[in-house]
Parts: sequence; structure tokens; C-alpha cells
Amino acid sequence: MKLKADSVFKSIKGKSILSDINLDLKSGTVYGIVGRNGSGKTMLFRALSGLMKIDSGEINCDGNVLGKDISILPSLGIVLENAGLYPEFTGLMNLSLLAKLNNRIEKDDIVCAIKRLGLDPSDKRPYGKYSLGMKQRIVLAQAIMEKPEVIMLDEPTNALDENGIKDIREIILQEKKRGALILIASHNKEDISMLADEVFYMSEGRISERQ
Amino acid sequence: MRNYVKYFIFSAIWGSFSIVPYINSDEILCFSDIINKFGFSEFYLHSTGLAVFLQWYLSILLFQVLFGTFIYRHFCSASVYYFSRCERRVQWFFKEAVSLYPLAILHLLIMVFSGTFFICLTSSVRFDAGSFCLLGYYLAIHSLWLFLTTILINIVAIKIRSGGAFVIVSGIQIFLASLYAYWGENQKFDEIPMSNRYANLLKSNPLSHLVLNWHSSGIKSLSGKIDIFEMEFEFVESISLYIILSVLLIAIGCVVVKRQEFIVINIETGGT
Repeated sequence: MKLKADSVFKSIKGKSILSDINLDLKSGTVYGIVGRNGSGKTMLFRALSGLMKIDSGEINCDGNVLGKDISILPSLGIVLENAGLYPEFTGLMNLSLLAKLNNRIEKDDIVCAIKRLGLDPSDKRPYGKYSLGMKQRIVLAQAIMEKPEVIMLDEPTNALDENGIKDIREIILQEKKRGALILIASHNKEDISMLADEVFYMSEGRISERQ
Repeated sequence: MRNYVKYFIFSAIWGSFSIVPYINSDEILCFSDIINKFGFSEFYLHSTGLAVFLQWYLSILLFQVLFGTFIYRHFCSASVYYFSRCERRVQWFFKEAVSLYPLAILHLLIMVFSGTFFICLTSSVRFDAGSFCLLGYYLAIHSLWLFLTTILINIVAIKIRSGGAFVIVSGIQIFLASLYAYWGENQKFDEIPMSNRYANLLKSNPLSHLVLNWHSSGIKSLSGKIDIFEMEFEFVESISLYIILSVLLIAIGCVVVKRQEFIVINIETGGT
């Protein structure tokens, strides 16, 4: 799997939010995105996933142009800051509803993903009643449950305790080993230094530095 | 779909509640009369009749409240996770919209049969000839109206959120209903048979198509039950108009859904 961004630009209401983004990403690698609040990290994820259209440039996934040949990345697991699930459904019901859209996995796979994140699949509480840490774990479970080729994680360790952070880091490394292309945006420098093979620094919608 | 079953309890309660004034009646009620009541036929074209119209219109508003977020809910807090898995949004929208239609029929059927059951407990109901034909027309016309107005709420909600969508669509419906109060003051609407000019004006209001006894029909068993204005107003005309409006709305919905971008998280349902 190869994901390429060529001269990607996006502005909203006259304000440039992504400017001249060029990326060449390949599977089995963890990429870290670092930047201040409002630097464009989340918008980059939205653009790369296909959830937001770009004004100019091209995003290409294995030869398929996003927005022309495909509308969204065909095998994607994503976690975005502040995005939630259906508050009235349990974690298992939420993930089952999402999995039903593509029918790629069985109930056992969903249960396994929930357990991997240290949650109880038989928990009868609705998602709306979960603690912040549990909410973060269940959205991470939805991101990995279908074993996607591309995983985008925006602040994956938000609201997690020490054990939770340790678990997530371990899962990210397992997913990398599986061959997934992983993008992580994080304020946590330790996350980036421990996990990322390559780091992009973002500022005002641009990639200002690569390491 | 299974999650919505509980909502039909409200349909049953409303259906029974609507029929309360007719229980303990000494007369034997015909099933066609009961359907006519649900089909707004007690409404008369006068400013004071508007309250009667709105009273029966509450059953439509009830469905709109229950299912006004049927499609839109996916555009709320879980939108990112939902649509990052939805490769063909237009097909998805079409499927969701189509699955709303049986729910509209179910809502109407439950209302009519719970109301009829309620009357049967205290009075007698006669299933007269033509009543099932009238039921068919009632279901066809009212379900299409329920369907298209509820789809409209969902589509508008995607653009401006659910609160605004309810206000706009309810506002349009109340405006259309209030036209009857204005027309009710005009004597020309009382003339029987109604002149073509006034009949066409009446038919130009989309809500008029909901009033069963304003319609005309060649079916003999329905004579005396409908056609109070003796004007040319076929059931097929109403069904066709609502089908055209529904198709148009679905087409608009497909465009809206396809163009929708997920730039900010919509946390309207409070899911984060």
C-alpha cells in the first residue's frame, strides 16, 4: 500500500488550512505528525482519508486518485479528536453497526478488538455513559477491528491512564508489524519518539520539517 | 429497524387517543368512517376548522419527530467513523431513504388499527364495502406525505442541524395549513360543485391531498364517503404528486449527501 499526496491545498472561508502538502507514505511504517493546535494535523487526516475534499493537488492510493477513482480510502481505520460514537448504543452495538457497513468482519473479530483494548464486550452501558478513557479505548477498537491497511490516529493516548498508554503503544507496534501504514498525530513527544519511524512537523497548514 | 420498534408504541397511543371522542357511541361506526377521520375528513374549510386540521395533523408531526433524525443521526457524533467506511454514499442514502417508507406505513396502520380496536371495546364497528379500498388510498397518500416531509427534515438537518430543520419544515406545513383559514373566509370555496378555478387553487396546496373526502373516485362503494366538493380530484392525482415530490427529494438528498464534507465534528447528539 502506497499513499501519496502531491501539492495538496485546502482553504476554508478564505483561510488556508493545508498548503503544499507533499507526502510519500508506505505500509509497515509509523509516521508521526507533530504540530501546535490548529497547525493542520487533523485536517491533514481528514484530507488524506477522503472525509474532506481538497481544493487542488492530488491524493493517490495505490494508483487510485481520491475524489475521482475512490471517494474514501478503501481500507481505513481512523480516530479523530472529539469524534464519538452513537451515545445510546453499547460499545459492541456501536462497533457492530459500523462493521455492518462493509461486512468484512464477524462478531468474533469485534469482540476480539474490544478485548484487545482492555474493555468488556458484554458491558451493557451505553457509550454515552462511558468514562473518557473508555470512550477513547472503544474508538481505538473501531479503528483496528477490521485490520485496515491505513490507520490514522489523532491524539490516540488522550484521556488514557499509564496502562492504557502502554497498551496502545503495544497495539500500534503490532499493527505496524502486520503491515499497516500508520499515521499518528500527538502532543505526546514520548509517543512520537517511541513509535514513529519518520516525523513530520506541521505549522500553519504546511509541513515545515521532516525527520 | 429493530431499534425503532419501541417508537410505534407512540403511534398506538396516539391512534387510540385520537379516537377517544367516538367511544361509547350508540351508533354502529363504519370502518370507512374511522379511516376518514384519520384522513382529515372532519376538517371543514373555515377559519375555525383549522384547529381540527391541526389536531389530526399532530399524527404526522409525531412521525416527523420520531423519524426526523433517521438518516441525519449518522451525520452527528459518529459521522467520521461511519462515513470513513461508506464508500458509496449515494447508494447508502437511497437505501436508508427507502427503508424509511415501510416505517411510515407501519405508523399509519398501527394508528388506524389501535384506534379501531379501542372503539371495538365499547361500540360496534362495521367493516363496510369500500372501507379497505379507502384504507389503501389513505395508506398510499399519507405514507408518501410522511415519507417526503421526514426525508426533507433529514436533508435540511444535514445542512443546518436538526433543530433548524424541524422549525423550517414545521413552519412550511403550518403556513400551508393556515392558508385554509384564509380561503375559508372566501365564500367561493363553499360552492358545490366547486368551480375549476377554486378547485385548482385548493389542489395547489400540497396539504389538500391529505384530505380523503375532498377526493373523487369512480369506485361505487366509496360514494357518499368522499367527494364532498364534487370536484375533479382523483386519488391517483395525489399519489402521483407525492411520488414526484419524493423522487425529487431523494435526488436532492443524494446530491447533498455526496457533497457533504466532514470538516468539523457534529456533536449534536452529545456522543463525545
